[in-house]
Amino acid sequence: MNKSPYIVIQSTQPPYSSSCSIDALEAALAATNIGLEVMFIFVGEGVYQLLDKQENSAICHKSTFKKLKALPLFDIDKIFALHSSLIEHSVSLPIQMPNISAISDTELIDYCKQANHVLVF
Amino acid sequence: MVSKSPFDHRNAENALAFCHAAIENGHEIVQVFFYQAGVHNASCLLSPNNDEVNTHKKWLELYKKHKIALNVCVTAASRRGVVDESFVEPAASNLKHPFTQVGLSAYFESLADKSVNIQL
Repeated sequence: MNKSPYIVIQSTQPPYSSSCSIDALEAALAATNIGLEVMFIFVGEGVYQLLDKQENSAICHKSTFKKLKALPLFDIDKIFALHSSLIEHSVSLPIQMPNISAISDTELIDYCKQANHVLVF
Repeated sequence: MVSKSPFDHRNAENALAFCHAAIENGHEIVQVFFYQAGVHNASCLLSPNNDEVNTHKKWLELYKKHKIALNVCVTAASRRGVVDESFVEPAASNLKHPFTQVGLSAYFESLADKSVNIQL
């Protein structure tokens, strides 16, 4: 369990139907930019962001998945997806993101309880 | 953090009520941060009907009474056409004092000192 101060950012929306996924990502980058430790967690339909074969070019949008793969470059290496959401939406953890792992509902609650702040997008 | 637009949601009204209740109970509010579609709260061009709640006016009243910083995410705001004089001619800007454009980092800096974050 993480003992140092950190914030949790939950990304709960699919990638292209709203700006929420990018807003969550930008918030995470801004937080690490000033030295805060970020735990980034995909919850609910947010796990759809982990699908690597979405035809984003068809709607003239940049790939959200590619941006997510860059999270470790910005010192965000605590990346999780809620196991029950992965099962519910039939999404597997992407092999292109080796740093991501699944957590249980109980672990999500524990991480949020111990976080300094929790932001949900 | 206020993240929904006025009129489409009751979010801003809830945030205003929360601010007043918190202050009445002795809490200090360091800032209201407008992010995502919440930046529309800062537009001085909002023109609700006379019998509707004018959230923009209520934010101004909150500032006038308590001097709470009304910070607006500059990136989220410019994407949505809510801009101050640094983006357009003064007459064309719709984001004016006491609303202030800041970066997301400024918001997180205020979280770093053990303050409590309320996201609405």
